[in-house]
Amino acid sequence: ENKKGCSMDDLPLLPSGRPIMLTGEVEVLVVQKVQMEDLEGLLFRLTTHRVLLQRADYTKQIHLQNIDKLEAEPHGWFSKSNILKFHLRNTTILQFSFFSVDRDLVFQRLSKTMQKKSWVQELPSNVMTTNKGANFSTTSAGIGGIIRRQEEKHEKTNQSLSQAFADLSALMDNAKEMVLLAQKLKANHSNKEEDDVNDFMLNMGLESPVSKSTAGNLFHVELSRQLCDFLQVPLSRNTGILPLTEVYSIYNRARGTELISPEDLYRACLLFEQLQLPLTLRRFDSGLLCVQSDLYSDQVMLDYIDELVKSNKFPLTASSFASLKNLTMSLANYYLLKAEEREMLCRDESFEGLLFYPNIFV
Amino acid sequence: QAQPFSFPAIHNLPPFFTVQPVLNTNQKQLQMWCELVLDYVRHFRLHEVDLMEVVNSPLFWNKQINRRLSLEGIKWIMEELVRRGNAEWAIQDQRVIIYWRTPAEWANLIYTYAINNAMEGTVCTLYELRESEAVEKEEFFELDIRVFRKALAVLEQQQKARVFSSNNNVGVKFL
Repeated sequence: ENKKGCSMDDLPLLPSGRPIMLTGEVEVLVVQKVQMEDLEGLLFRLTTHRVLLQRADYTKQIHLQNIDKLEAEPHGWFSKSNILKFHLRNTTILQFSFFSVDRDLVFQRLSKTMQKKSWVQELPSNVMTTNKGANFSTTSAGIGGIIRRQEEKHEKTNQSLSQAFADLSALMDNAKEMVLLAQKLKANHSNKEEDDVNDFMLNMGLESPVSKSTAGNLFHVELSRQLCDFLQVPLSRNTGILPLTEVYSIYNRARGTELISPEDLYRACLLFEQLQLPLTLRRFDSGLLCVQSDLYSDQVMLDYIDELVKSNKFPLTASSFASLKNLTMSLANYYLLKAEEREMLCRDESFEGLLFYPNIFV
Repeated sequence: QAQPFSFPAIHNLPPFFTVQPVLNTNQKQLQMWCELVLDYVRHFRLHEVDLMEVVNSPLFWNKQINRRLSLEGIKWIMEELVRRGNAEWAIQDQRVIIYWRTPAEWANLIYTYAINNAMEGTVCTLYELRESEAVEKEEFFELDIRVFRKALAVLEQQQKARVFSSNNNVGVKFL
């Protein structure tokens, strides 16, 4: 481990390989093929708070507040320099070389981000403060007073939100504030049922959506990883399988802005195997595309059907099975036919429709 | 047989009346139907079955559970019986003769009767052998004439008897 490596901390990661973000931290830029000192092929991720460095065998973070100054090597007469040096507070100097993107772009974004000092803990600005020490009057007393204060808070919240949404770049500036607001609101609803919280989270959006401007040509790779994290909860509620159309709508709903196209989603899903994520994009004979979690293979569903058989809750139709297990009709049909193929079930076809019974012939 | 026929339990289950698509299941279902059909015709001593008629019989139409086996299904069973040698089409896909006892088995019964009545070397008419009072108690009494003739053919083949006709009379000589 080189001496300069010791000036950086290890970077904790999510199961998908994406880094765990700090409170209020938002991604600004993602660059690949970056070299730091003698380490090549690093993924360089700039956020509002840190610089994150990732490679198969290497994950480190540098907090922006530990960077004293940036030094961009001057361009030569005949060639542009791709070198940027970090002068850290502990007097270490780290040299970065950028091979896939303009060094000056990185320098610009870094400078701007460092200037903003997003990591400095402010009071959650003018959104949630109560007016302490104001002159007391009876209008602020009693239930009426409480209601009035609530209304004032809501007014301020609304103002803050409309101001932010008026201009998307302003939104990114206000991103940290938005994120804090989202978290506060989420915390206030923590007493409600789990479903409400989940829905609310979806509605308030993801905290750091992958976008083409931050990830560039890594977009689909990053999107693929984010989908993996995002889909854990929805998949677990649907026996590990969701139609692609469903994934498209719930994911975009959560993003809120900078929606991804169906093409983007499809391309990202095609990368699951390559990135070794525990998800699979499945195409059924009917043409239906689904995302399935590797934790929930077909066998799990077939075992469930086996249980049903033994407890005699028959006969089953595709629609009754679909509602039992929260599946679409085509998926329900698929599993029933699969179970029939495995000789677990037999069928009864009549004017009443198609029903499935435990296999009475074996 | 005045006794009512008792159907096996599976006859009361709806899937029994749907021809199963999965091969293994289908074969097991076919086996069960073949057995049932043979038991049924044996019980009622039926030899010839008309498909259009039998489709409405209690065998293939269980009114209690409101299920019936389709005509296609009945053909499926009969084809299998033919393949096994238990049946023969009288009119393809319309009428079938079912040997709930094979001609060879009948031949045996007839020959045993002949032996027991010391008929070797004697001649008797078809009528005497099949419809007379003498054979009233025999299993082959009034057996379907076509089946009876087949049985005799087997005996001929086995060189246990000879069949000949004169003046519209058919005679059988036991050897």
